[in-house]
Amino acid sequence: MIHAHFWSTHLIINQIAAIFLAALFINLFVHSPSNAQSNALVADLSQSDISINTDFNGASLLLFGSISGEQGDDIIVVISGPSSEVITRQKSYMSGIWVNSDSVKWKNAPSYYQIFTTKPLSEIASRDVLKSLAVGTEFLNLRYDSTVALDPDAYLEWADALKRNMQSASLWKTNETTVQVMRGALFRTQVSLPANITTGDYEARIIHFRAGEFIAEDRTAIAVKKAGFSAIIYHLAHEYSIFYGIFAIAFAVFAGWLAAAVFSKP
Amino acid sequence: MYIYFPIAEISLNLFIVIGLGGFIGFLSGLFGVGGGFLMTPLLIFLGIPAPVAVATEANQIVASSVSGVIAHWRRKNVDFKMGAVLLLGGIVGSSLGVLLFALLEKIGQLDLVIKLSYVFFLGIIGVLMLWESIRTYIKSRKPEFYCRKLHKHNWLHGLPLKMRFRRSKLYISALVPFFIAAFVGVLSAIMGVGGGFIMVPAMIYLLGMPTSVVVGTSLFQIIFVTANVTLLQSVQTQTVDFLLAGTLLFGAVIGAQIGARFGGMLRGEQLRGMLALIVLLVCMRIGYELVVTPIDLFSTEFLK
Repeated sequence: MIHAHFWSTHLIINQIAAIFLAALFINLFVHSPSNAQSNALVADLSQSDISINTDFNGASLLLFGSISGEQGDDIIVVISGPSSEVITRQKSYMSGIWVNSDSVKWKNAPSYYQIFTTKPLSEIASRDVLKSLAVGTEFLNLRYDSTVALDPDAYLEWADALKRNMQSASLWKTNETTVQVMRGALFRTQVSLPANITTGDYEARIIHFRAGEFIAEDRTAIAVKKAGFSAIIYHLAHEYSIFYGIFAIAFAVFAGWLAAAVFSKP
Repeated sequence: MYIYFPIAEISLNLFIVIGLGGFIGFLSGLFGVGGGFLMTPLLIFLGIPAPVAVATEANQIVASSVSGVIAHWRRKNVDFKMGAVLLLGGIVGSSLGVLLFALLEKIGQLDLVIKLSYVFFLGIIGVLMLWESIRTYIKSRKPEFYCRKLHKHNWLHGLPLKMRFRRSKLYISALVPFFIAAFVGVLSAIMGVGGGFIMVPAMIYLLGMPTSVVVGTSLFQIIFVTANVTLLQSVQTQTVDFLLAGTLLFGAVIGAQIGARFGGMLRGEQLRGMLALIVLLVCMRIGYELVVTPIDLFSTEFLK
């Protein structure tokens, strides 16, 4: 069983490790300038396994690493969650009330998509560069089924609605100027995963830019899964649903009987 | 202190959830109602997905009905024969309700139907209750004595398949309670309620059952209807959050006991009048959501 206490200790150890790593790299770059020519990009996370137990209320982790860069270099971090089927519905006004009418079913929308940058995206690289690297929700290549024919304008409207809804659920977000780069060599950013995240494999892409040009990219993974009591309940509910249902009823009958027995004594 | 509910997939403050259970439990003890019609909308309002709220509330109502029926059983206020007919109807109705629920969810109209059912039934029941309690209040000021028949006879009493229900002092067609229970069962599955607030008036006014056995018998059948919904939703949609039901229950059990003690201090028509106002308030709140222009016309949900 993994507890919050353990994780916080774990986080501190990792932060210490990050600082150590930082010191190491600063030494390396200051004393051996020849290494600065290579495009080495190394990134890691303070925590690469997120456990959703009954005390889970979102997670915050540190993404850090080093680049062989110069003053003024930029970093973009893209973290995307497992792609899911989601449905976007539009309400229309019918005989006095608001009713869901049209809908678009997205086949491969990322359940989480957050970007972390050193500067506003448009100042880091041109739209074409970002497109070629598939950075940004507008380059997601969403596949869909729709109840209405989608011309390019309608598609944009629906994709924009999806983006808006995902943003208000704190799942999609562009966090500009949240990545700090120190001495053109070390970078770090705080990544927050909200409590409503989907379980599965998350991918973090870390991309290094200099003066609008792509320099290097590294990838790392985060596994989000249910754990402990929360995992047991979820597993039973899905794999042994009849027994789960019977157990839920039996528990309720017992609790009701217990309440009556306890409180009937004057 | 936050707790993550694994089926609802949402993290909520533990004390808010227990407090909510306690508050609704208090009202249900005070007024002698199940409280599902208040709990389910509030759970949805807290951000719990409607299917989870409805299925989980069914699970919780099993517990509160069991604890309620035991008290009535001790006072011999349960007509088991009538209860058996009602529960057959209730099981048929709630099974259909669960199927209808899945269908509505698939076509994206579940929220609408839940809200419309709430507005419609709470509106009717609320107005009737308020009217009745005002009338009783006025009458109690100028006492009048009159004799009335045990119950009025109408065309419902002429249907075939007649049965004798001794405790209810009735000789009527079993089809009437069966179909009433089936209808309430459908609503129960869709609205996440026990259905007592419809069942009790229907038993008094349509069947003509004596008031003394109505609540106990209604609770008896609600146990089976909500147990059926719990089981079917567990199997079909996996939306019963056992942890959420347990947490709510904990608060509700304590709240109900406190409420029941307060209830003894107030007069019947006062209680019914207050309950009617709460029912109408919930009705208007949900109605408002249907009428007001949404902040965003588009909404997105995850498909499992």
